[in-house]
Amino acid sequence: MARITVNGIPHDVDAEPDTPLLWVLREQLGLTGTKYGCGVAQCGACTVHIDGAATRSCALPVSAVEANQNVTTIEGLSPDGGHPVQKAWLALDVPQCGYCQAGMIMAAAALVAQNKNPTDADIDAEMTNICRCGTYNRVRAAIKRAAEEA
Amino acid sequence: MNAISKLSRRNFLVGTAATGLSLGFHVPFAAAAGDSEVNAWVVVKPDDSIVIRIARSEMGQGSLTGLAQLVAEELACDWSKVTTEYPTPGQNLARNNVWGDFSTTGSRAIRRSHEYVRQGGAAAREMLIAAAAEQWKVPASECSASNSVITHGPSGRTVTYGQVADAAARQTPPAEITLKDPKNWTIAGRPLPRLDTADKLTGKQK
Repeated sequence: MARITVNGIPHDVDAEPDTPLLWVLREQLGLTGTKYGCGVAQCGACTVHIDGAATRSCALPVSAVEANQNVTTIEGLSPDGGHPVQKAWLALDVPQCGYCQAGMIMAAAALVAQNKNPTDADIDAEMTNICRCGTYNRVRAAIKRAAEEA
Repeated sequence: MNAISKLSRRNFLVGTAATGLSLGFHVPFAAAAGDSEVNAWVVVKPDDSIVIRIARSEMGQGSLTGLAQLVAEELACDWSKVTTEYPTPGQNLARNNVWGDFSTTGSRAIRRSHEYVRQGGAAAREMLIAAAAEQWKVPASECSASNSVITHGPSGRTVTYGQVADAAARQTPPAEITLKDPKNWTIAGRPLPRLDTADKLTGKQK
């Protein structure tokens, strides 16, 4: 049994300690917005926030998350899709297939929370998520737009 | 050009199936009370929102929105109230392939289906107009539709799609359909914000 706090709500979940956080979110809690990509914390599709820091959940054992840490998923980023990153993503029509975009958005939200004026170099350094559709140019433009408002 | 379609049994999927099947038995769409399936492509809700059925997969290429635009163009509906849903291949089988080919490949979603999805939208529009005309006891030829509102020209009376959708679902589909000239399109054929984007930003997309 593990206790974790997700989007502000504490949950007791019945999971082996080495179960990746991603599967607790998706399978136990039904939060299917966060996606499984590579399974080895490389592609970023599974990115969530742990106390505001972008973290890849597919290779993080649930036992590594303390009950007092707040896990935020794409479902909890804003109540209504109104986070500056989500608004910028909508305005610039960023997603194509959308599979990587929950992770992209979470990584971008962590970035703009820290950096109000990210340069291309900052974005390239922080955004290591992979997108098979190739949305990178719009991701970059949307991050700059979101940073102005964040 | 005005494309007057010859409605053979094979290429006009909506006409045959709407009379023969869709009204005959209710298929497993979880339709809310009061929703009216005018034909296989178009569901109208009492609040005038429109559900357009999409039989191709949206994989980031944008065909969900493009196909919805084509149906909505002929339907003459309010685009701001359009949502979409996917029939399943099982439902398609149960309804004698009313939605045609589901395969989404080779940039063919729109190329191969634009004509019959437009006919689906146009047939639904004609059935909505026919229902309004019947209610007003006027010839359908005196009525026109735009932005989900049907107007009786001579008297200026209006009714919205949602108000006549139930009666429209019981109308016989038109035997012949004239598609709009693309030069008169206002919804189709131009870039619009994609209908699938919002759900991809909030985690709603599973």
